[in-house]
Amino acid sequence: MGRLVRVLIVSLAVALLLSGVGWGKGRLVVGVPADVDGLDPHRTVAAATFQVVCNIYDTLVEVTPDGRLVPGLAASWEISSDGLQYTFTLRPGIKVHTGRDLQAADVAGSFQRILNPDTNHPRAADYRVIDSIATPDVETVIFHLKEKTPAFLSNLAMGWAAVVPPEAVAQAKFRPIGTGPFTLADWVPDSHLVLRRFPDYFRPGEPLLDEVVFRVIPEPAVGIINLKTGAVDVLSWLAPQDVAGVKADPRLKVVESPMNGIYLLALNNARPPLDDRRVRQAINLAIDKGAIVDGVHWGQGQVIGSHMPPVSPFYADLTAMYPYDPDKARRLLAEAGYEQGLELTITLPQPYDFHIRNGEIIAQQLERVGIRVRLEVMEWGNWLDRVYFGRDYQAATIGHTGRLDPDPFLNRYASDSRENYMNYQNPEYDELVKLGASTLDMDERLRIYRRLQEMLAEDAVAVYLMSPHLAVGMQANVSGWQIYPIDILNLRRVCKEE
Amino acid sequence: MHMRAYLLRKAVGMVVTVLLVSTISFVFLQVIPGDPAQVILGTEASPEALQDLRRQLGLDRPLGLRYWTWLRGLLRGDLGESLRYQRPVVELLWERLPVTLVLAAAAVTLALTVALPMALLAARHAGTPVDLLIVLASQLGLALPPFWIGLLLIILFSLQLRWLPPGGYVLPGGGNPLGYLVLPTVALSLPLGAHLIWLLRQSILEVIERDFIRTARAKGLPENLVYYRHALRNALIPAMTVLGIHMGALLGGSIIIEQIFSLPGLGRLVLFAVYNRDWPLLQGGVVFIATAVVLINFVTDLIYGSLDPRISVTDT
Repeated sequence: MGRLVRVLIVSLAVALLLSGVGWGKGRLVVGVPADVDGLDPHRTVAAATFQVVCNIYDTLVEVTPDGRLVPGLAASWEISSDGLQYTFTLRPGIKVHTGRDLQAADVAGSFQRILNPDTNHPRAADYRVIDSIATPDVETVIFHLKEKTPAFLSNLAMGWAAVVPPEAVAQAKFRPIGTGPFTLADWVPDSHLVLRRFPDYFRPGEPLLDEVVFRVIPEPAVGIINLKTGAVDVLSWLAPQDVAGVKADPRLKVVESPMNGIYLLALNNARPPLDDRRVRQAINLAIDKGAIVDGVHWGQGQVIGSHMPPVSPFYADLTAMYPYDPDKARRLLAEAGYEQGLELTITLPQPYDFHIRNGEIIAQQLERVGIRVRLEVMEWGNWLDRVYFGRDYQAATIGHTGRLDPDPFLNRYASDSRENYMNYQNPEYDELVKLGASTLDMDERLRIYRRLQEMLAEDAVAVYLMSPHLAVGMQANVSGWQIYPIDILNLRRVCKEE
Repeated sequence: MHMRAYLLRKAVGMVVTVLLVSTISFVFLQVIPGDPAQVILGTEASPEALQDLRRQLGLDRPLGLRYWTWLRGLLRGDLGESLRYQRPVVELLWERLPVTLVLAAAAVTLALTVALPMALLAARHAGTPVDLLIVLASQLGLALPPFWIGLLLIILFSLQLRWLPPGGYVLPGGGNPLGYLVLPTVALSLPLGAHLIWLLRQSILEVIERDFIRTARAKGLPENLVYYRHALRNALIPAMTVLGIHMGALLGGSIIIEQIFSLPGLGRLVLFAVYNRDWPLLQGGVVFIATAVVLINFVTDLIYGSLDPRISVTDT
């Protein structure tokens, strides 16, 4: 009997230990909706990957939560007056995870890897402007550009410009070796990924955490339960409908910020009846954007008027151009010869619920002005093929993630852009967008990009619906969490009070 | 002699089935729109990057050649490399298998452990309130969708009572593996258990009317023995069919249960392959699942024979 009791007590103690009561101090568990698709920042476009990998690798330049560019691996930089030469001085004593010092040649090698066609870097085009890279000494990197490119500096802050040292290249997808605050300890695909503190990180005193566990929780409702039970410390994305509930829980808190991104109803400007500007304007007038922000996104967003989110310093408020005005919409339709209404097919991307629901509300609103809408839900791979690459559609709901510079965001509307899936053709726009890409003067750029946004709104190229808010839920004892204008989960200064 | 011929014929049939299934799935995946390179690169792809990636993934090679290469690999036990993970498909399947296998085994065990006594109890007390209650419960188990039950279980046992973790998989340095298994096992075994109770009760009631049971009773066998040795054994035959079908489905991984309980099983891997047009991964998954189903069916056939000697393998 005594023996049985002992056995029971010991097994109970072991079970308690195993169940996580004794987890190490400074271990943070972050619930994420999707897994990384590898750990090589040069060979992916997956947001889930950049969110994690930014903690393993560094960039020359970094962006602050309010959008300023600050030193990263580079302690300082100088731009020549003609805008063609960028000279970066590396910080002293940056350690690679293997223990050696990072040198200028490593940085040059990383950009050569980005530009090498065999790497298949999805955004290599952003760096093709580099003519040559020189490393006069171990801490100086000089980029010579082919032409003036004001977007160049901010492009260096993007996650896909991370400096990947040569020893990482062979197995970068699974065994990342960087210079960042954390190293990879374990990755079980679709389950969890563990990062461990890198003690020789170049910023003294950082990171604050010993260990970070990213847990993949695909189901939002289950994510919330994980947060409420304390099984995760942070939930990296709260569905809009859950924000209020998390705020109401005294043990939890929400960090939120407007996102650098937009949702829109894309219109195929080349396809009748949408090739008639009046029809596109009528559709803009017939849609009550506020009702979409409230009805689909529980108020977690802001109405916009053109292809730019309000967080951008280049944002122009054009929301007044198309107020909700169904009467005027009907008049415009009649003027265009559609007194009897018309038929419109909207293609919705599955499994993106909110884009589908945006489409459903839009359909109802358009019915009120006599536009009969057929909704077509299409699985993402199919949607990309048909709508985005094939341009075989009438209207479609989708979102676009913002960039730090307005040029890569707005040059998709250039007539010859392969990304111009809305088939917008305007020579005036083409010229101006080219000018913006090579203008260095900030005031001049502000004026140019304001005008470009106005053109898109005047021509009603799409219905620019809203810019969503991002809300992150966490336990009240987690501090230092910040939201950035690029999609990263930077954990350097995050800590957890026990 | 008969047995050997039977096994040979069966084996050939199984190989042909698996090959047919793999061919059909290959063709389907080529016919549906969507391009792996496009999905990988998303909405920011430049045409050059797309072209380079297609070349790298071997998508520029003719269809027939791709299938032939894949098929030759299959014969060597090589299922190729996943386009998205860039790792051998066999390795990926192998990693996910334990999760799915353990879960399937646990669910079948639980379902049988509950269903056998419940069905016997209901049959022996047919028409009484006990029977009614059991039948009602099994109907409910059949009618309620497992994903909904799964969520309810999480809300009750994780959120309210805090007894069990809300899904996930064993983490390094923390987590009692049994704790993580309980809720998904219950959710997964519910439809199977309910189906078995309903079926077993029905067939026990049918068998119990037969002549040989009357004979057994007339011989003076105790009622317990009549039920356990004679009635249950015969009633198990239809139940085996149902069990075989469910087991095949369970080995393919339950996408919904894996999704709700955040488990890295085969189901989610296959779903991932479909969304990403990762055809080698999907092909590998399909071949694996088809093989598992075919093998289970074969084992079920053999068990029929041992349950009822009249169903002899040589009769086919």
